[in-house]
Amino acid sequence: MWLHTVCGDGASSLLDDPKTTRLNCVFDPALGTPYQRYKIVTQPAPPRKKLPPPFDPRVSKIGLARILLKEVRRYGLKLRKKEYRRVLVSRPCIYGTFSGRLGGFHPIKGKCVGCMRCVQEYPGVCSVDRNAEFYWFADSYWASEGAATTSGSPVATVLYEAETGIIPIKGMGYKGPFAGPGWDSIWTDMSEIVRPTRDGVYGREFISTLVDVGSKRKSLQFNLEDGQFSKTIEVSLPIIFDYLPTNLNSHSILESVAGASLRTGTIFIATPAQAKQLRAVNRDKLVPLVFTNKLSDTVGWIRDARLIELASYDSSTVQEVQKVNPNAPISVRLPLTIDSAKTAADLVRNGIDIIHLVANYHGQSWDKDEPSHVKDLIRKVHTTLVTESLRDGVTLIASGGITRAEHVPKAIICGADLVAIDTTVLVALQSRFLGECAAPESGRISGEKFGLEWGEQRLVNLLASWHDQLIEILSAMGIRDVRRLRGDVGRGMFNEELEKEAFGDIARRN
Amino acid sequence: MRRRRSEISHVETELVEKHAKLIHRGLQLLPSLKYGISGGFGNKRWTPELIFATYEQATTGKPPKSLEYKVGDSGGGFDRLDFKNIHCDASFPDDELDLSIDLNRRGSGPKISIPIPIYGAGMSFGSISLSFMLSRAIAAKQLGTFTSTGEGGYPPPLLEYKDHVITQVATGMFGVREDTIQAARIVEFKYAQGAKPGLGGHLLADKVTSEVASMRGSLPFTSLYSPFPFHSVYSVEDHRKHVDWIRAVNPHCLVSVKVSTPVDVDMVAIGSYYANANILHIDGGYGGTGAAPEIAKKNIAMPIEYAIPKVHRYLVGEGVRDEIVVMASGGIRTAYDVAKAIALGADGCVIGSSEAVAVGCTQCGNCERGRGCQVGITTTDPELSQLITPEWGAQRIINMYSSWVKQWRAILRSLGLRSIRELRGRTDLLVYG
Repeated sequence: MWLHTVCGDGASSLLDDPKTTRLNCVFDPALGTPYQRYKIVTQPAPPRKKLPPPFDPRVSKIGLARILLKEVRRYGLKLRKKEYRRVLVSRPCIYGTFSGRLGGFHPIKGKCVGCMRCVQEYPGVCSVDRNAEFYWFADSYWASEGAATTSGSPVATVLYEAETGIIPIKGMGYKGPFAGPGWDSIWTDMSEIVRPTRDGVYGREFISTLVDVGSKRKSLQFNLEDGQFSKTIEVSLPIIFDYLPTNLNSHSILESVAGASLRTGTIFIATPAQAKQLRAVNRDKLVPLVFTNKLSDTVGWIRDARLIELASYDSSTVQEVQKVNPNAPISVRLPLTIDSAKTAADLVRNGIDIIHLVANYHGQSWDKDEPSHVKDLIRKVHTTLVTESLRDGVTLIASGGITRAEHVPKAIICGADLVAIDTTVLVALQSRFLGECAAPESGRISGEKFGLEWGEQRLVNLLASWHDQLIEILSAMGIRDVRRLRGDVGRGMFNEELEKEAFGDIARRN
Repeated sequence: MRRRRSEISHVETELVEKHAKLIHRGLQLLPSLKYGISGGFGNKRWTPELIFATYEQATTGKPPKSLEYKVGDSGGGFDRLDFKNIHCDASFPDDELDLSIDLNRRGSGPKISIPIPIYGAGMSFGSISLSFMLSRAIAAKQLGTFTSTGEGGYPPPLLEYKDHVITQVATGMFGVREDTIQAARIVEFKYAQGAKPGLGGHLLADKVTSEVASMRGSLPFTSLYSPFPFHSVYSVEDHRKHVDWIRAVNPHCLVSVKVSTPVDVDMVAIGSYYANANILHIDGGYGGTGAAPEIAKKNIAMPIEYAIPKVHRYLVGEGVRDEIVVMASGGIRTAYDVAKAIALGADGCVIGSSEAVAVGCTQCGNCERGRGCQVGITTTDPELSQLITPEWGAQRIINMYSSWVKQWRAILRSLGLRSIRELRGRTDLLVYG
């Protein structure tokens, strides 16, 4: 029962901060506290470095000179009048590619959007190619869809999202491959009639993206003597920032990640050594990553943390961490392999609150022979935990190869509670990859220094866009809480299954 | 002063004519490949060759000799399906090959059949130019089939073609009036659309000119949203109430129900049957002509290739398949795609993008940007809209379908069938891989 809108009325200092994420405050006098709806505030953050243009328009100078001469001859003396001169110099581009002083003699490549009208009008004189440099900004995983999808390529999409914070929109249908390996083999469900709520225009306004990170008790229990309440923290959206090693990190990147976490209500994972470089104000959302052999150096960080991640499992380390900070949920990084499901079940039985399933940066498992895609292994871990009645006692974080907004709901459908992003941060911050970047130790980047406000805003924008796209997906399904999507494979449509069902009876081509 | 004004207007016309003439000439020249293929053309679904092949068909009315005109390069669905080579090649004459389909298979209501197994998809006034809208309507009239208003109302020039225009009723109810429902032979309820399933519609403010606003009963240059879903429909019974409402206003029309392709598309189909719809129009996720979120186009709802057999088999199993017409859309680009969709179980198809390509669309996807489409298709810009004249556009659409008719006949002959209706659900005539 929300009675009066008091946004901007000084109800809370949070509301006065233009950078705050919680707006649309509604005040209930009975409670006396403001109700705050989650919303990420975006601002344009243009690229700090000029990007290579996606298209490469070219004009034959001789051809163009011939056309102009022909038209001069045609209009003759009429050209004394301004209107006719306008006809002469009118260009076959509505986006300004030929709007420079030299017109078609020197096309402005950055303005070309690939509409191809110039080629349609002057096929012998104009040509427009795709600029291969634009698509190789990152590495092969990012360029996997290639030039054929034009500005819908993963790199272009993330750059757009980080710049604007809005949902990418294009006309004339989908332009990519029918299906692909990995995430592109899943479609998400929609409902023709069901909405998240009957309130609001779409019902979108009331969709929750909040997730609980930690372990919960399986049933309601009173008079707990052992003090084992559920150990969870709330994260406003199911996307967190994963740890990036030093070769893929810098002070600017780290501060941007920390600042963006603060403004969006998410968390970030970093080693205490990295965290020391941060301004104190930016340490609030830190999840310290603790290596077993460096425990003694990190006691102070563990004591203050709301959530702790261990680089690997070791029972004595877990006990020591629990001694120092008994209230913080503990997460363990588990490199994904074909055997991860069994290991995950063992970890839950050993009282671990969160399992962070880590694939490589290309979304593949760490198996040397026949690596699997992260989606298949998330499903396997989730299903095993469900079968063994362990699933509700643990949170699953999935990371590795989460590079597009749609990967978030797809990972959640497969069984993750939330995802962690890694190289996507680097692309959003325009850090150019130097070579392949499949594993933490193998990658290198350039362009790591930049203004902190810019970096923070880019990541805030990225999360805002992904958050809105997640809401689009949930809205289409008629789901009002992202937690309900977890492991709901009935809300996903898998290419292998659909193909078998639809074309199973059709003869195979010889 | 008056003379000067008239001269300026003359020059404006000359300016538009200059570019229109050049574009039209280019559409004829490009398919010859004399100038090669610019790398900026096309994408996986609409390859440059497929775009040029459609230009050529729209120019000549015949299938191209040296361009790939049957499939794209998407690596799945229609692009991996083909017809079996059964070496039949029956020599049925053209007039013995029946390409017509009935649009009402129920016992009551008017009987409407169309001579080719397609009609035009809904594209609203506002999302496309009036010139292109009229091109489609003229073509539909000459071909004896239909086109659809989309959710944008009925511009007065369209009334002349009302016997060939489907009136769409969607969630925003834009332009829905009693007289336009009464004028229509077919009324289509749009519950969802493939390009943005479950998300409603959005016409960007730039495109809402005063003419568009007046048609939709809104303010000029204000973004218009079609909410999702119908807030009055939460069950099959509500759905039926909607259909009855239309029949109360116009007892002589057929009712089509346009839905997207969720996991339970078969349930949606049977629900539409029990709601008394004549036509079930299933719109797969990969189609769409208007602007839509990229995440929706690629990821939400299943491709039409998978939805058609699911719906067809379920309706057959329920024993009602012959009482409802199933029209498929959403990424159907060629005559071969249509024939494959029918072999998978559809009665016919609904075509949008191919008609746009016929009049010069390059599939660049900039429909929502700035002034809109650079060749006058998805724009309300007064100057750009003039790049298409209704007669020229209509002729190109007719030509494209003439080429498709030739291809459908060739397919039927090669399979030894006399009627496109015999092809429905014949997955045994397809190969995959």
